[in-house]
Amino acid sequence: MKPKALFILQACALAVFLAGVLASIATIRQNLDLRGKIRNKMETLAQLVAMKQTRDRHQAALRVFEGLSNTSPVSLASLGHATVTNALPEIRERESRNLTVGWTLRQMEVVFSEVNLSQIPGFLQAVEMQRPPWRLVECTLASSRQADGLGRAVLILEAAGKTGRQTTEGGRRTTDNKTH
Amino acid sequence: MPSRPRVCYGVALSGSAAVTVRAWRSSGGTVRQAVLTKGETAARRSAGGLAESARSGDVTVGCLAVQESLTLWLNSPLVSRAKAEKVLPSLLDIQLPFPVEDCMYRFVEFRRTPEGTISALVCAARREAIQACLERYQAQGTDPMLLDHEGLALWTQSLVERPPAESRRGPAPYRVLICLADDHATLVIGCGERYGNAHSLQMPSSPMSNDDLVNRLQLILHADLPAGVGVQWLFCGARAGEAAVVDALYRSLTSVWPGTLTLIEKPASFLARALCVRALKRGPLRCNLRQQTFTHPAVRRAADGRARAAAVGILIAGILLAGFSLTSRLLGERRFNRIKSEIAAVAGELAPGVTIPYGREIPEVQKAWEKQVSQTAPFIDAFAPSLAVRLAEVIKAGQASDVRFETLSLRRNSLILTGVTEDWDQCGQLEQRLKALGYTVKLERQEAVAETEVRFTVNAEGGGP
Repeated sequence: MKPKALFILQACALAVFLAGVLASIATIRQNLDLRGKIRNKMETLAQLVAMKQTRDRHQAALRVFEGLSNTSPVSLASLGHATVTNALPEIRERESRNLTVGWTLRQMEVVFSEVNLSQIPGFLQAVEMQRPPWRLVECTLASSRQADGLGRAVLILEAAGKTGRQTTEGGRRTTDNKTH
Repeated sequence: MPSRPRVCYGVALSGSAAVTVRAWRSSGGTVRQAVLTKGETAARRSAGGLAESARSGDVTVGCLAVQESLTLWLNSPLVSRAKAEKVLPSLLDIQLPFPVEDCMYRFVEFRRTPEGTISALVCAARREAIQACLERYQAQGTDPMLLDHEGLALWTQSLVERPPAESRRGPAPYRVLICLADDHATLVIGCGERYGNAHSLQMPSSPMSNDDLVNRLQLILHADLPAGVGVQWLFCGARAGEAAVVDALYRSLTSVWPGTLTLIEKPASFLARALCVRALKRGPLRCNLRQQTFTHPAVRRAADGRARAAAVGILIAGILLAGFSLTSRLLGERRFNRIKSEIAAVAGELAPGVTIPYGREIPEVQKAWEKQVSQTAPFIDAFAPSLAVRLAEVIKAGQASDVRFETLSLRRNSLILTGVTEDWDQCGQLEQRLKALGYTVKLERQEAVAETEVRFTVNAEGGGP
């Protein structure tokens, strides 16, 4: 190889090597910056995925309800008659509001006066076994001073159902009407 | 020529004859040698000689005779070696009887003097002498790639084959190596492992003239050796086998400088062996006077090849660096864009119909989700543990603690109880049982005054299903 050609080769090699080194330095600096951005975006993505998983669980729960053959909650009065003896419940709707795709959430207050308190768990089990189920939200029991085992039970129950009931604006309504 | 050849031919000229030794380096690094017979040497010449060797990667080494060159220790007044290396050529120019531009020189060793300054051993030869030496080799049918120095080669090989005895007391012993060739004698003087100087003398034509040789040797040695010091005498060369010559020289010289006599084995090929060993192995005082315009074409081609390979290597390294950088950058950006598009997809799915500005995905999606969650939460709540179960557990805890509840108010995450019990400690049992259910319990008891029973109130939080 002629000296001039060798010199050109060496010069080219040096130039390419320096370009490679400069490119590497620039890339390292850019990647450090990019790594911070990617980390932030990964955190954002992780939060969104967590929210999506929550949303998916909600959707799955809704699909279970949609799959029910009966979409109206069972009457609490009839269940009360069937499971609690010697006591008629006072039932009133406390609140109802619209949910998604035609579903309505109804919250009912069930009051048993002078009832055998040992029958309350059976009543609660019966209402929660229904499809769609009633759920106990709040419960207040007070024993009677006159007789052992008797007392007053105030149960707040709620259930989602497609009853076709109309609600007031804002999806909320409170009524004091007795339903039995 | 490879940077570290494995096979080497050392060619030493002695008068009109040439002694050739073939040496090769084994895988363990050991150098093995064989003297070529005249027939083998002739066969090698006819097979292409050096040109053949150059192609095969073998190396042929010759040497410049002491009478055509000089070795000299130069003392610089400088302490720094780098600075000394700059001024040493000027010092050499002063010492030489001819212009330094007319000669080739190599600094083969640097030492620090007791004063701390730098002392350098230089090997120099006139260009005409090098040209004449190469022509003599070419007349013998060989063209050495490397041109070593006879005196340095003899000295280092004597250290290899006859290492100096370690002297723990006093100064290192002197050593004088006398190489008796057919037409000349070479005298190499050193002390311990330190090379001193080399001289050359014409060999007398008749044995009767040995006295003249002794006188000239003594003349030279008186200049380099203090009288009466012990000297290790070594003899080599083609005529070292002539016992009469060696004995006469040894008797005469030991009368002034007593010492032991050592005859080198296979003395005729000693110089050729030395050339081979120096070419094959690294070590001190290595020298090649075939430089610049005298550089052998094969050596120049090899150097060009190495330079070209290095340049290509650097070029490839540069291309790889640039390629890796570009790839890394592209992969990083691709990953970033993929994450961005995933975020956009998930955000779009969670907040359909909402225009989400870049970087505001979480707040916008949360805003949209808060609107949706109130409509779907009751469905997921239906699958949460029932409060009726918790009611049953609280009642069971009361029965187990033998307390009687008067009121019980249960909500998710809160519990209020009032009741009576016959014993103060039974409230404590109830408290422990409620804690086991996960409640944080605040228990208040009232001392029985008019009644026999203890009244209590429990406010509990947490523990909800």
